[in-house]
Amino acid sequence: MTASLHLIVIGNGMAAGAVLEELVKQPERPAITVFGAESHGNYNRILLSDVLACAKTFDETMLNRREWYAEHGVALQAGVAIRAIDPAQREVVTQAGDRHHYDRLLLATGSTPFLPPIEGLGREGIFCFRNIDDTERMIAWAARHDQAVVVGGGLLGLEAARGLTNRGMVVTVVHLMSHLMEQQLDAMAGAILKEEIEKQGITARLNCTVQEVLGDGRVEAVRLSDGTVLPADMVVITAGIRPNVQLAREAGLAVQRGILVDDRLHTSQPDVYAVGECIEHRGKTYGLVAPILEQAKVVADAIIGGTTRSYAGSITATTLKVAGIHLTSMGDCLGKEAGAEELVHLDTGRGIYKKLVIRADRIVGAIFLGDGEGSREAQELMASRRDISAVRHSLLMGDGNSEQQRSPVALPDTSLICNCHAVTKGEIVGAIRDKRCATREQVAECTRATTGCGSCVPLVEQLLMAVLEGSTPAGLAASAPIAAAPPNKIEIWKKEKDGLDMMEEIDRYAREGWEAISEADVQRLKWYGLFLRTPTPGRFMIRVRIPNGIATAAQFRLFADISERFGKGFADLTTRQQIQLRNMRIEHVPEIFTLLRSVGLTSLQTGMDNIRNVMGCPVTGLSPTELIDTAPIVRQLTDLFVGNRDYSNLPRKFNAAITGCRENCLHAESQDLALIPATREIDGQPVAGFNLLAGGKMGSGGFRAARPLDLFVGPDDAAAVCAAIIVIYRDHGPRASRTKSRLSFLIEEWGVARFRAAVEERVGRPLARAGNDARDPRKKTDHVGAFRQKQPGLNYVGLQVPVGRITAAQMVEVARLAEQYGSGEIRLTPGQSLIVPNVPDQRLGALVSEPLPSRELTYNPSEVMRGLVSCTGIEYCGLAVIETKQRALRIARKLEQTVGKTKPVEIHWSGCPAGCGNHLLSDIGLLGKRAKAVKPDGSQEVVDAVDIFVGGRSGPNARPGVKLFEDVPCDRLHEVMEGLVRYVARDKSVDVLKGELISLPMAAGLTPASPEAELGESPATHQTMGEDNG
Amino acid sequence: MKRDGVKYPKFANKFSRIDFEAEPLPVLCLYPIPAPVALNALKLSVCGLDGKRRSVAWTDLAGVPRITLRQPLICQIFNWSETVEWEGVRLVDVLDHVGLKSPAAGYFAFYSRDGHFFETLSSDEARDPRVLLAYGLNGQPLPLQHGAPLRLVVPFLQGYKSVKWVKKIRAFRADPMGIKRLCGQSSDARLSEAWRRKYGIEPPVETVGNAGGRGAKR
Repeated sequence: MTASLHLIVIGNGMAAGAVLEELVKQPERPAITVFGAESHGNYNRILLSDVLACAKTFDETMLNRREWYAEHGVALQAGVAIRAIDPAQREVVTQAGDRHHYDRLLLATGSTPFLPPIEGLGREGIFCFRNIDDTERMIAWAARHDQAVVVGGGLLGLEAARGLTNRGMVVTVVHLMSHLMEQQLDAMAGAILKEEIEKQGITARLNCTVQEVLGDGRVEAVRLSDGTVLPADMVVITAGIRPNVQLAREAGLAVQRGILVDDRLHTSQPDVYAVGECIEHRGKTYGLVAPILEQAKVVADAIIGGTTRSYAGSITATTLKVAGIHLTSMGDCLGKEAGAEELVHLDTGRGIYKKLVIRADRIVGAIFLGDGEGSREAQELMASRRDISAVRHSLLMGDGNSEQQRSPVALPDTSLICNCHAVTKGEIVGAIRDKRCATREQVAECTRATTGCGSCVPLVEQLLMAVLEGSTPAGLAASAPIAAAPPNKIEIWKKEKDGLDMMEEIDRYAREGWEAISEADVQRLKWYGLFLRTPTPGRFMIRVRIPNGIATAAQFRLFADISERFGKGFADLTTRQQIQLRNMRIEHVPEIFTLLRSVGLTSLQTGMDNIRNVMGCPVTGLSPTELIDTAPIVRQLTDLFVGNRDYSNLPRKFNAAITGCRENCLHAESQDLALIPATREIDGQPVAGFNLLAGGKMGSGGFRAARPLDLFVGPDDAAAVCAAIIVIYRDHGPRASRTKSRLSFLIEEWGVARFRAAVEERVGRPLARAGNDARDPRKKTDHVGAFRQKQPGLNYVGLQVPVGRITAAQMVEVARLAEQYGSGEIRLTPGQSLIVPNVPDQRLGALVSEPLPSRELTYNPSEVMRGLVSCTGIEYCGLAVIETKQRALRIARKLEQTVGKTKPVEIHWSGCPAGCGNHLLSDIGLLGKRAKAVKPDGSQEVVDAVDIFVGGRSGPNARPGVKLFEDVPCDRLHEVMEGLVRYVARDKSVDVLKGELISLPMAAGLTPASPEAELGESPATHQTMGEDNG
Repeated sequence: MKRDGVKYPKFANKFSRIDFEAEPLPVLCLYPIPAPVALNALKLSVCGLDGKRRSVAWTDLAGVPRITLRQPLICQIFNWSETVEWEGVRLVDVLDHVGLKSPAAGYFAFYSRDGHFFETLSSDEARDPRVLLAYGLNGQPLPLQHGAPLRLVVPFLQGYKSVKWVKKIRAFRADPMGIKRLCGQSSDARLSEAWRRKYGIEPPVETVGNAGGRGAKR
């Protein structure tokens, strides 16, 4: 220590602190006295935002406590302000008038908040946000008040706004400029930032300023420049800072905006230096920590008489510390200087904006908003002034991982980890490895990293972990989100992008053509009901949701129009009461969507892992025998989930039906969730409602009948309870294997009792146990025919649409009939047929005499025809292995002629084991396959064939059919069916049936099913089952 | 030591009060206990997405059903739990009663009268029927040190989500995160599997908010 020299430091902020840190390291240094106006030691002002935001305590902001000064032989005069400098005498004068001699003087007087011209600033409740005292007072005030106005939407203003929000205040930021943080951001970034800030509950008012603070002694409101009066009980002013230059100016030092200094930070007076926010260097002032720390090193060197260091100005980098928003801005990010080029990455959907400003092949500035990936690389390239022309094409083309997920271990040793103190990765790793730093605190002590703005804490911690434990941060990441990585491709795709977010892609593909569609997007398009059909490249099926199957004449005309104009003139009705538009091209999809919307329809969520069309009895509200009208409940449930992202990522598809029909007109047993009519006494009153069945399924993984949950719900609760069950399935349903993901498997895993308890817990109260099943076990109807309604004088007429295929002309005709004879309503049945309701008695005769009902879509079809159901088949479905629809129709027509009148018999065709034709639940079920057959010449060939099942039944006593024959070639099928339909009778047990049928003459030469293959289990080979059949 | 197995985290020294001898629950307060307020004098400040504050007096909530709920309070950080009987109103009922809505993927924040502490729940968590605003504990009025007159009780998340001295409630679109995450004292409020298994208690949703940072982005 060279005791003969005395250094006086005026100011005890971060700049002074950093200089002292440098000086005390020196073997020879002057005696030091520090005068600080604040009564604390030295603290990190930047962290006050964190303190206000509840994220740090005042303790954690302390850099050097008062003891530190004593330990290092520095005399601290805390709370002693300096009134004047006398350069001639080399003395400073305290407020109390004491004079102190100096040999060297360092001005570190910092800055003062700028107060814009606002009237009424004298009121209570107005704060600047500069020091510990301000922060303490703001916290105390915020605890007792509600609404704050922050004047100035710069870095500090936004941090203050978030801090006050965390303390329960409702905050409005009033900003004079046209976008936020205009010093560090361009207009685009400012606009995105505004959105993000507003998501956090902070209102930003731009192009506006506070003119006047109103209130009686205390802030009650502010008047803005646009005349608005905003109620407020707190005003925080963060409108920038002004260097504190008064002392210097009065002492005759050269001063402009700041105290003028040269590259050695020497002022215009001999032996007087200045550092920090109070200086102006090469025309620039600085308000950030990193440049000040750079300056501190230089000025400390100058003070002790060194000559090695000089200051050339700083390239600044700013990070906004608002939790949940990543924002870094650096250098000349506004591209103000001539010759600037811009490289931009913009993702408005995710709120990501990245921009590099390049001049003469060098990065001179950058903005990273929403995602920091690439920001460190950019900062390095900028700092090193490297020529980027060779890597220009790959800049901003990151690997999609955000900064947090990326390993700092992968960074080069020269990479800056702590921007504030310019600490590189190499220095930090060195400190951990060589200086035995085992905690972040020790690393901080050693290198000062993390003690600036604190944004590098996660990186330092990852480095610590990596070096100490030898584990790579990549491995660490794997134990967090990646460990929960979804197990199959579809799950991965769903996580990447919600199927409901596909509309922009659809518009793009409509422009670019179907070949541009990625594998994942082919699947995601199904969320919009768009199914690219493998057998017809480039052609889509569009499945339109029709809740409860209730449609209108106008909608049918539109289906006809769309099929004519964009397809091949026909459409298919599905077993879920929907319509499938065929042969559609992606180019037309946006227009088709618009058309569908115009008649109140949507194709949303009709495929993949969604709640499919909610079914209901097609004559609900009409049937004289039904227990409850379900149309409003179906609508209520549908409105809840369509377009709602809470329901757009289920483990697998979810089929639901809500029916009040006592006549078993739909397959409740095969639904994931079915509400079936039941009655129960509740509080002494009889209530008509529903019993719940759950866990039914067809297709891959085999048939499972829905089982009773032993729960009863009334009509008012029905939709809510359904939603609760779906949410339980969403959250807990198995997702590992596509063939083991339906609700059935969850119920199997949990058992009915636990599942029921989960439903009650989710609903939040106990539910009634099952009531009396109101279904008539003897009945099973398809509602085809002419029947009286509960409304006197009105009838509904069911028209059978063979295998569900309907032409455009037929659709137009049905629409005409519905309007002319009925009320314009048309309903779709689970049996792929149509119903024209509300036909008055007087017109019934005329209606059924019309050509369509009497000849084409008949109201009185033959018994084989009326029970005929077929899946789509190979024509449009990529899964089917044989053609089914036309074949089913052909064979049925032939049977009509050869067998004549029969007992009612249902014949269901499925083209693959997915079982969309419900072949297992019908009197005769046909499952398509390819099989070897012997030709007349004795040679073998592979032909279209079926396995034949008999004795299946839906309804209260549902049972799957048993397999009777295997590998029956389709060209022999007619004769076999002729034999079967005469003998299949519903009242026989399947075993009796099988015994009788297998001995029939027509069975000669057929392969009886092997005993172990009897049950209707299907090979679970397909990943995507039965998707062409809604 | 009255409660065996208690562990002190490294930030335990930041707590203004720690008392493991207290009954029926230990007392752990990060910040000083605020001055008492009577339940009937309590005014809650609620704020929806519109940023408009409203004052709701406790007496305005007379129509909201009162229930008692026996649930564990689990403090995973200090490693203790106690099962107690809370008396209060369901948060979901209060939210509905005062018409406070958040979007489906939204959040609610709960601010303590101590002027510092705040925590958040996802919309799903907040609407779970096990979540109470409690004013009674084991048949007695809730003691001041446990959050009187009104505290949040969230049995399926870590204890710190059960904010004491609830004074303000506000709906948000983006996650305000809560003080423990902001302070770095807990990155995730979910209970560990061991605790969940011990009490057979599961959070309502795995995909949103505190019950599962792992979920897909919405």
